[in-house]
This record gives sequence, C-alpha cells and structure tokens, in this order.
Amino acid sequence: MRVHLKRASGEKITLDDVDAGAFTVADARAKVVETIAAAGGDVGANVRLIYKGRVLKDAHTLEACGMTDDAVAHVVVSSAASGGRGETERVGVEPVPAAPTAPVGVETSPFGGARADPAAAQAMLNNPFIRSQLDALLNESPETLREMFESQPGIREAMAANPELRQALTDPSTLRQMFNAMGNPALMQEQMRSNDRAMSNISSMPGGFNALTRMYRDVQEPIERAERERAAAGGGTTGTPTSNADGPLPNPWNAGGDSAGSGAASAGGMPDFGALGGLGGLGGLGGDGGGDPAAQMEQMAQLLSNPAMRSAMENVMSNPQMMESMLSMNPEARRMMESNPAMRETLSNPDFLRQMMNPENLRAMAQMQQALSTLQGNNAFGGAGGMPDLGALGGLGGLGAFGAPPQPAGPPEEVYASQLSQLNDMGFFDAAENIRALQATGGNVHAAVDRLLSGGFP
Amino acid sequence: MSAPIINPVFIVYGVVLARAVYDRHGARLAAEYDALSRRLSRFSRRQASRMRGALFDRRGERAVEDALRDLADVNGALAKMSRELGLGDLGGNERFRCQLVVRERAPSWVPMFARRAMCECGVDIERVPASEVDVAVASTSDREQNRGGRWLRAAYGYVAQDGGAAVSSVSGAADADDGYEMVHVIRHATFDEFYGSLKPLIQQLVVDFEAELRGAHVGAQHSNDAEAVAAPGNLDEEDEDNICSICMDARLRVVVNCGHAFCDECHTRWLRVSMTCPVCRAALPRETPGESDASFALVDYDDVREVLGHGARRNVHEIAHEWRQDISSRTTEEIESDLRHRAALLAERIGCLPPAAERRDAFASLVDAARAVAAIS
Amino acid sequence: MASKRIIKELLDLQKDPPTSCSAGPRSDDDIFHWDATIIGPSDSPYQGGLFFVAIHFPPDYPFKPPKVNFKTKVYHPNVNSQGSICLDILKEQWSPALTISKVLLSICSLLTDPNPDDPLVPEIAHVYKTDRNRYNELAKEWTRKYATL
Repeated sequence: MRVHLKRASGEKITLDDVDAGAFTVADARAKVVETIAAAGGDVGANVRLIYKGRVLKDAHTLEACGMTDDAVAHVVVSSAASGGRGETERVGVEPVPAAPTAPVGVETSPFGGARADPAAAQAMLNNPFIRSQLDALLNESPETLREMFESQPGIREAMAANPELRQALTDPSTLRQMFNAMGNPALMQEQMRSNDRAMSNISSMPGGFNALTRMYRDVQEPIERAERERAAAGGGTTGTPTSNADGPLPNPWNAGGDSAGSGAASAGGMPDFGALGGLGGLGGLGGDGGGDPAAQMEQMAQLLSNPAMRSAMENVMSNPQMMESMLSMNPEARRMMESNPAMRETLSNPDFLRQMMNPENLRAMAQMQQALSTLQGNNAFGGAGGMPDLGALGGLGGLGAFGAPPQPAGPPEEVYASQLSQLNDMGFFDAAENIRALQATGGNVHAAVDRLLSGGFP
Repeated sequence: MSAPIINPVFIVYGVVLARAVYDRHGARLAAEYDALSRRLSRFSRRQASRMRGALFDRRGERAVEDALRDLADVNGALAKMSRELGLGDLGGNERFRCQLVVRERAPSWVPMFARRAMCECGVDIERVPASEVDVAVASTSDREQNRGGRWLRAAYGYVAQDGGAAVSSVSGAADADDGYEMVHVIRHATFDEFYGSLKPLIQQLVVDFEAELRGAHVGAQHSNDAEAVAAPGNLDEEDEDNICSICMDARLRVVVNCGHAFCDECHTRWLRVSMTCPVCRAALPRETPGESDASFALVDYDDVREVLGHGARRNVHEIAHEWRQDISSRTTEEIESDLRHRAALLAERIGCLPPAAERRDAFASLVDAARAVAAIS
Repeated sequence: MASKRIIKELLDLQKDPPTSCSAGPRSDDDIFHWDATIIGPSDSPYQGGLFFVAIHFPPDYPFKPPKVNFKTKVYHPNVNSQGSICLDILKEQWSPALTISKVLLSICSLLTDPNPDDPLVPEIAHVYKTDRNRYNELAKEWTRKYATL
C-alpha cells in the first residue's frame, strides 16, 4: 500500500509499495531521515510520526497503527531533546508559576506544604499583601516569628537538635534574605547554585560527606517524620483533594542549610511560610475595609484555595493566643476588635474561622462587598454607618448567609428552572454544566455565568 | 453558624444582582428584538401602507431601498437562471423580471395628499424582452428623487402611475423615445407574498441550479426520474455537493433566508437551539404561528424540482446542449412555442403559489390571464 | 446520527488532514473520544512543540460543541492549567457546520494569536500585554519542558 508522510513544512514524503504488516514505524522513521538527508537537510535522529492524534511507537507495524492505503501521517522533528522528559507532562502536576493558586497535587513537604512547592511559595511571597505583613512581622516582632516556627513540631525538633538552625531562623536579616530569595526566582537559582557548589566542596573534603549525611539525618529526618505522622493522622489538612501520597521530597535547600560555609540565606529550615502568609492575610481581612475589599477578598480566596496554605492556617488558628497576638499587631484589626467585642469573640471561634477559610465563602463575601459598595454609592443605605462598619457587617452577614451554598431540595432542573432558562438565553446550552455551576454558586446566575465562562474551577 | 444575621442585605443584594444581569444582557436582547421586529415589519401590512403614503418621504425611503435591494437579488437570480436555461441567448430573448410597483387607485379628482394614501405597493413579475442580461444591484443614486411627481424611478424602470397600467422603461429598451416598453405582467404580488414565498422560492431555485452546475450529477442516476427525486435520506457519492452540512447524511431540503440550505431534520433541530444560520451566523427570523405574512423562509424543495422538469437531476449544461441540438432541426415557430411552453410552466408554478386568502379572487383572475396569454400564443 | 457525522469527519480527515493537526479516535469501538495532536505553529513561541489534545463528542453532536482539552501544559492566556480552552466557537459561537478540523485549526491560530482580552489565566494575559518578551520566553520554556518529545 501507499503511505504519505506530511512534514510541518507541508511537503509530503510518499512511500510506495509498503507492506503494512511488516513495515514498522522505525523503518518509516529511518526512511524519513534518509529522505531529508538526501535533500540536504539534517534532522538528527529525532523524528517522530503522528497518526490519528497519537505518537507512533517504533516497534509497531503500520498495520497495527491502523494505517490504511493512502493514509497520511504527520512528521514531527524535535530539536535536541530536553533533558530527561520522555513524555509530555500531564496537566496538573506542577503549578502555573505566575498564579497564586496552586492546583491539585501539591506535594506535601516537611514544612507544612508551602515550601516544597517553590513556585507557590514564590507566588505567595510576591503577593504584596503578604509581603507587607511579613515585613511588619520581621521588623516589629521577631518573637512572634519564632513562636510560629516553634509551633511546627518538625521545626521544633530540628531546632532543638541544632542550635545553629535556631539561630538562623530567628535572625531577622537571615529571614529577610530567605524571603527575598524565595520571591525572586533568579536569586533563588543563584542561591541554589552556590549551595550546590558548597555542598560539592564539602563532600570532597575528607569527612565532609559524613558531615552531610549527619546533617541530613539530624535535621531532615525529624521533620519528615513529623510530616508523615501528620499525614497519617489525617488531620491538619482540610481535605486536600489529592494530596500526594508519596513522602515529602528531600529539600535541596535543607540539606545545605547548616553546613559550615554555605550561605546562611539558604538556611536549613524554611519557616512555615504558609502560616506567615495566612496570618498576614487574616490580619488584613480583619480590618481592611477601606481598601478595595473585593480585590482583597479575591486574593484571599485565591490564597486559601491552596491546600497547603489552608493547612497552615488551620495550625495557626488552633492556637488562639497566636491569633490574638497576630491580630493585635494589625492596627485596624485591633481597632475593630476594641470597638466590637462581639467581633472579637467570633474571630476567636475556630469554627467560624474555618468557615471563613473556605474560598467559596470568601468569594461570595467579595461579591457582597461589591454589591454593598454599589449600594453605598447609590446611597441606598441612607443612614448606614461608615464603610468599615458596613464592611464588617457585610462580612459577617455574608458569612452567615453563605455558610454553605444553600442547596434547596428537589431535582436541580426544577429548582433552577428560571436560572437555567436565563443561561440558555445567554447561550449556555450545556444543561449539566449549568446545573453544576448554579449549584456551586447557590443559584446565582451572575456568578454561574462567570464560572462557566472561566471554564470551570479546578 | 446560625441562621443569616442580616436578611435585608441579602435581598438587596439579590436585586442589585438581577439588575446587573439585566443590564448586561438586556441590551443584547433588546438589539435582537429590534432586528427581529424590523425584519417582520417589512412584511406587515402596516409597513406596506406606510410605504404607500410615505413613499415620497424619508420614512419610506429606507423601506424602498431594502425592497429594491431584494428585488435586485431576485432579478439577478432570475437572470442567471434564464441565462442557464438558454432563454436569454436564443431566439426568445426573454426573461423574467420583478418590478417594484406603486399603483394609485384614486380617481383623478382626489387631491394629491389623499391620493398618496391610496396607492398600493407591490411587486410585479413580468416577462420582458431582455436586451441586457446583466442585472446590477439597485443603487439609490439611480433613483431620481422626483419626490413631487407621481412616479419613482428604480433601477429597473419606472414605477407605474395612475391608471393602473404597468408602464416601465428600461435603459436601452427598444422603444427608448417615449420611454415605454411592453411587458407582460404574469403576476401581481404584494410585498408579503413576495418576501414570504416568491423570493425564497427563487433563491432556492438558484441554489439548486448552482448545485447542478457543479457537475455533480454526471452519470445521471436511474432513468426513472420520479423515484430519484422522491427518495429521501441516503445519497450516493454523486450528490456530494447536495449534502446537508450538518448531518452530512441527508440531502438538502430546506433553504433559509440567507440562501444556505440544510436537510429538514437538522434545520428544525438547530433552530431549536439558536436562531442563526449555521453556515454564516445570519440571524434567522422567527416563524409566528397564524401569521401568514411572517417572514418564514422555507419552501418545499421537491415541488420546485419537479416543476422544472429536472427530476432527472441532469446537468443543466447537458439540457441546454440538448436543446440547442434539438433546435437546429426545428423551425422558428417550434422553438418559440417550446420556449413559451417552458415559460408558461414556470409562470404557472409561480402563479400557483397560494396567494393571501382574501385576495384569492383577484389573483386567480390574474393567474388565469397569464395562462391565457401563454395558451393563446 | 452523531456517529454518522463523526465517521464522516474521520474519513475526511484521513483523506486530507490539515498540515499541523492530526486526530483520530482513541479506540475503534468508541468513536466519541478522540485524541489529537497539534504541532506548534512555526510563527509562535510554541514552535517545535507537540501538544496533545483530547476531544470528547457529546451524543447530540453536532448540535452541541465537542469538548476539547489540552493534555499538554501550555503557557497561554486562554488555556489554563487543567487544559481547558477558552475559545468562543467551543461555547456560545458553536455552529454545526464547523468540523473538528476547523476547530483544531482555530486552536492553532489561537496559539499564534492569543486573545488577552478574554483570558482564562489573567496572570499570563497580563504578562502578554505588558512584557511580550517575557511571555515569549516563558512560552518557549514551557514548550521546551513539556511539549518536546
């Protein structure tokens, strides 16, 4: 039979008189390389054949691939193969670098999740919100920081075993450097490179390798163990949908942390960074009615969609004293708390806080805020108090109302009949998707439309 | 967490939301509704009467322009068909033409302003000697802005004036001096009928012809014509070009306003989803039940095919060729009568389309007249 | 009726496939799931990459649009990390006269000309609008990392 091979340039290479039952893909590839070489081009051996949307494997015969007479396959020439990746990556394993929301599948790590996920950590750091909070923390109360670190069992053990580690962790300038590094990828690369170099230096020294292993054992293991215990207990995370069951990855930075001569910036422990960010966010949430509340809410929502972040928040919240100290640091929050004792109570209620951590709720709250500000603008609320109060009220009210997206009883098609017809009019014809979107947004057509347009949330 | 703390906020929020949704989409819906009603209004009697009275003002102008444009399309289609059928090239030198017509019904003693209100707009389908086969699209600059006068010149000739006699003058016609030419009016149609059935019919004919011209039917099918036409559903390879582009299975049966054609099932099914043409996304008007002058655009395909005697679905060129070969052995009279016969067939077909119910008598007589003309000669 | 049309499209594709796309059913007994590949267009930073796409035909195809998802990670303002594509003809602008080959070609042209005003990933759209070089760099990087065999 005859087979055509189409190149990216559009030209076709025709192979006549091919015995489909015996001719293999490898043969075909060889032919292609030959033809191209004969025409003066040089393609290297990396030529692939695509048929019916699939890459053909060398060992198969053309017949096994389903090729019939006069079939057309595509030829793809790849440049020098990128190191080590045999297959194209499956979607969803690694997060998008720029987005603050890390998708499902974040690796758990010794330090509460945020760290082994350098990109997410980086993103969080780049969030100006968090950054400002961090700076405030660093400058004003290093003790709070230390408290936070110590609240993590793994870190505590490590710090106990290794006084240098503790020193490194409590030194504000070290931390600042670390944060800078995490936020700035170039800097981080630089650090890692110098780290690696230092490590190789060490291992070449006599007894150096032993030192490294000892360090690893002393520092890394207790942390890993703690993490594993935590994961095994099933607690700590608020239902991370697909937390990776494999153990935490060894952290390259960790190993190099304490050795003599390596930069202190890549100190052995990364703080439970999620906790920091979370607290910062929380502080902001408490009182920042003046800024653009909707945007902040949105950011918060995004932050919290990160399961690692959420787990860190959980940790923090279970410790009410820490909460208090965090909140009192933030002047707005403090003001609000003082003026509104009820607020303070609710804020210390862990259940309430847990609800607040639900990103859905936060988004709903953001919308509420928007609506409320529109109302304010339209003077619909006449004598209502100043914006901050409204924000607080709105926040609480929204919270109460949206405690859970109300799921009315009855078949969804009936319940959402009018919304479905609205959606149909707008051009969304997929009933199943519409229903899902409506359920998630509690029957809110506007939000459902947004949801549908963004292709659904992960 | 307990029950919602603040109810009124929730309610107000809902209101705000609803308004936002409406604002966002209401504009779009309103625009669509406007487009629809504009389209529909073209066929309503009210518009026709407005055109009558306002023919000489700005209001009616746009309507007239639109009508002229549509007429141009139809005339183009007719010209093309007559070309293909060989009517224009051969001895007969005739073609069909649609003419925008305004007739004043008032007796002469009625003052001007009242007279305007009493004139009637419509479309005449004529059989005319055609010296020019090319039909250009009517441009409004062609129109003489003779507002005060009693006639309006369109690209296809002068519109009739009082008395009811259809007087037309076409550039380059035989009797150029006094600007008159003889036309045989085959049928009078109101705008409703024109847009409702005639225009789509003719467009569909053209679609059909074009498909045939693409030579997809060489190797004509079975000698038995009727069967080939009547059998729905599956097609052979020769009918490739006549395949419905949606299911890619059945043959074309229905044509829509913009000229694209589909099979029955797919057309119905798609319209339930969206009132746009699947090929060009043009908005398709809605069919309102009970209103015969709604702008529906569906014509039964098979009737048309039969009428033209193309049951065999043979290549048009072949037919023309046959004709020409035939003709060389025939006398002029035979040719003429043959042509007249074919013209009459078409006329009959056009004339047989159901006119609006209340006008049945008037038009029946006209149709008879047309037939009579055809029969006599 | 959907299967008849899908088979017809498959035959047309096999006879005359577009240059940069290849598609076919995953297995011979289920023609409603297709796998397709798109070769990165040569005038875009995705050049040299091979992107895998999964296509799912609904039972009322062609009256409903097929669901198309990237299986390879792409750095593109209109493609998110789950592979969902934000393309109007796959949603409200779908028309039954569109075939899979036209859809795949539209996706190719979307790769060449992203639409940052209606983004699925606002961050990437922002980069695209403000720092085009960086966008190209990142797109190339991702192509190299994920879409090179």
